[in-house]
Amino acid sequence: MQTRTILQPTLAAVLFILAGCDRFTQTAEPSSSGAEASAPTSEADVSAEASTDLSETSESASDSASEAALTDFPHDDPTKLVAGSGSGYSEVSNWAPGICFPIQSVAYANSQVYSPGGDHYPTTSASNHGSQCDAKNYAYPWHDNFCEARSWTNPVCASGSGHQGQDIRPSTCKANLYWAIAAEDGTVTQVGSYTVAITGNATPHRIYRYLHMQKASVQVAVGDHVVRGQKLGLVSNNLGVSNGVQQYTTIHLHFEVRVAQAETMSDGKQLAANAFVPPYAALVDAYQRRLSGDCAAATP
Amino acid sequence: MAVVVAASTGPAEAQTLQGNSSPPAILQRRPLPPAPVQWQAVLDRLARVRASRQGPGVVARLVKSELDKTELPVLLPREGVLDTAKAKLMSFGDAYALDLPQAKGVHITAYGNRTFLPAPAGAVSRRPITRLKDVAEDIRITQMEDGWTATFSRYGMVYSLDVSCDDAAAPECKTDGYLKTVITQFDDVGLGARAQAEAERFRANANQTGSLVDQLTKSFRDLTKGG
Repeated sequence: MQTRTILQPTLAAVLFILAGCDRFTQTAEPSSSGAEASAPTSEADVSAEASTDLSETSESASDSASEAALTDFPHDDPTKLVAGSGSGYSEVSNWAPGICFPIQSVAYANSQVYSPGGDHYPTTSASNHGSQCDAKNYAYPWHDNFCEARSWTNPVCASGSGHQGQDIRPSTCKANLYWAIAAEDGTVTQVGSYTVAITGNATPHRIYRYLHMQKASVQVAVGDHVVRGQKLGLVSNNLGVSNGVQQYTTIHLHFEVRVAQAETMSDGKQLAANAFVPPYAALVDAYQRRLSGDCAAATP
Repeated sequence: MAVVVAASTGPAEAQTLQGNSSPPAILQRRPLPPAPVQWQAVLDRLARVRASRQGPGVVARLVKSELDKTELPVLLPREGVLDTAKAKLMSFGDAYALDLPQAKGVHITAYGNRTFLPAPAGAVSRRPITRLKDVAEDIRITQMEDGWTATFSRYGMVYSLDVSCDDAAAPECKTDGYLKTVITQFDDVGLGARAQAEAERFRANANQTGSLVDQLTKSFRDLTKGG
C-alpha cells in the first residue's frame, strides 16, 4: 500500500459508506469450498436478484477520460502480489489508459485463490479455506493478481507462467446483480458460454476479455458495436460447463487486456506478437476516475 | 504508483495511507506507426492459393463492406475442414476480427492488426515457439482460462487465433492439438478494396523500379560496348 496524501471528495466518501453497508446487510452468502473452479452457488439461485437493477448508465467514450479528475483509494502498487501467491512481474505500464472501469459498482480487485474462500487461503484446516463472502474480500486495499501462480504460459511473469488478467469482485458477495460494462468503444468479437471479448475501435485495437458473466444476462452478440460504459452482462460465478455439468467459480469478473506488441531486437528488427498485458495499473487509473464520476455512476 | 491528484468537486479532505513510499513509475506506451504490409509475400501467396483452390474460397462469404475497408491481408482458412458457413468479419480498418463458430460450442476467433505497442525486452523473444509442418512462421501458443491462443507474424502483421469451448472438457480445448490444426488451415488470404489498391500501388512501384533497373543495366551495357 502507498503512503500519500489523497483528496477524498464527498462522492468517494459516500461510495465507501455504501460499500461498507452492503457488506453488513447482505443476507445470501453463497457458501464456497474455495477455488476459482469450485464455488458451489448456482446461477439459478441468485438470478432473480438481477431484477433489482442498477441505475441506467451508458455514457459514451466521447466523454473525455483525460479531463476527469482523479480520486485516490487504498490500493497496493502494481506488481505487488499477495505474499506467496506467485512470481509476480516487474515491468509496469498503463497498457490501457483512459478505459472505463469494467464494473458498474464499487469493486475490489484481489485474489480469488489466496483470499478467504480460495483454495490456497491459509487456514488451520486443510479443507476449510473460509468463505468467499468474508468481509476481507470486500474491502480495500486492492491487490494486483496478474502473474498469480497458474500453469498458463505468461512471459510477463518472472516464472514464465501465471494469471493472465485481474480478478475483481463487485460491491457485494451477490452474483448476477452488478453489471460488467464496456471498457472502451468497440465491437464484440467473441461471445462464449462465460466469455465476452471486445476489440477497441481505436488503435491499438486492444482486446478486452470479460469472464464469468451470467450467460442469460449477456446483452451483446458478436458483431455488436458497443460504447464505453455500455452494459455487457452481470458479474457472476459462471465457469461454463465441463462434461455437460455446470461449473462455478467465486463471484468475480476476470478482466484481461491483450495487445499487439513489438519488441525491437538488437539488429533493429521488430519481433511482434499478441500478448496478455497486466491490466492493474489501467484499472487503478480507471477506478480513480470512476470515483470522481467518470464513465458511469458507481452504484453499490 | 504515481501520486494522483485532485478532486473535481466540493471540499476535499486529506488522508494519509500507510505503506510503501516508493511506488513504481508507470510507463505510458504509445502505438508505433502502422507496420508496412509485405505485399510481395501477399501477392505470391495469393497466386499460389488461387492456383490450388476450387472456387472463390471463404473470402466470398465475408460481408463485402467489412472486407473492403480492411487495409491488411485477411487470413482465411482453406475450405473443407473448418465450418465457415457463419464466418463473420469485423473490420477496424487497420485491424480486424473474424468469428468462425464451429459445431458443439467451439469458437474460433482470428485477429489481425498492423498497429503495435512497443514491448519491453524479452516480451516476445522469450516466449517459447512452436514450429508446424507447412507453416513458415514461428508460432507462440498459450493456454487461456477458456481455451488456447496462438500468435504469429505474417506479411509484417500480427495475427492470432483463439480457440475456446463452451464445454471445457471438449477435445478441442483439452490440448493445443486442435488449435494447431486450425493454424495449418489458415493458409488462404483475402484482400478487400483498400488492401487491393495498396497491393496494386506496390506492384506498380515494383514494376517501375524494375523497368528503371532494366534501363540502367541496358545503358551500362551500351556504355561498356562503346568503350
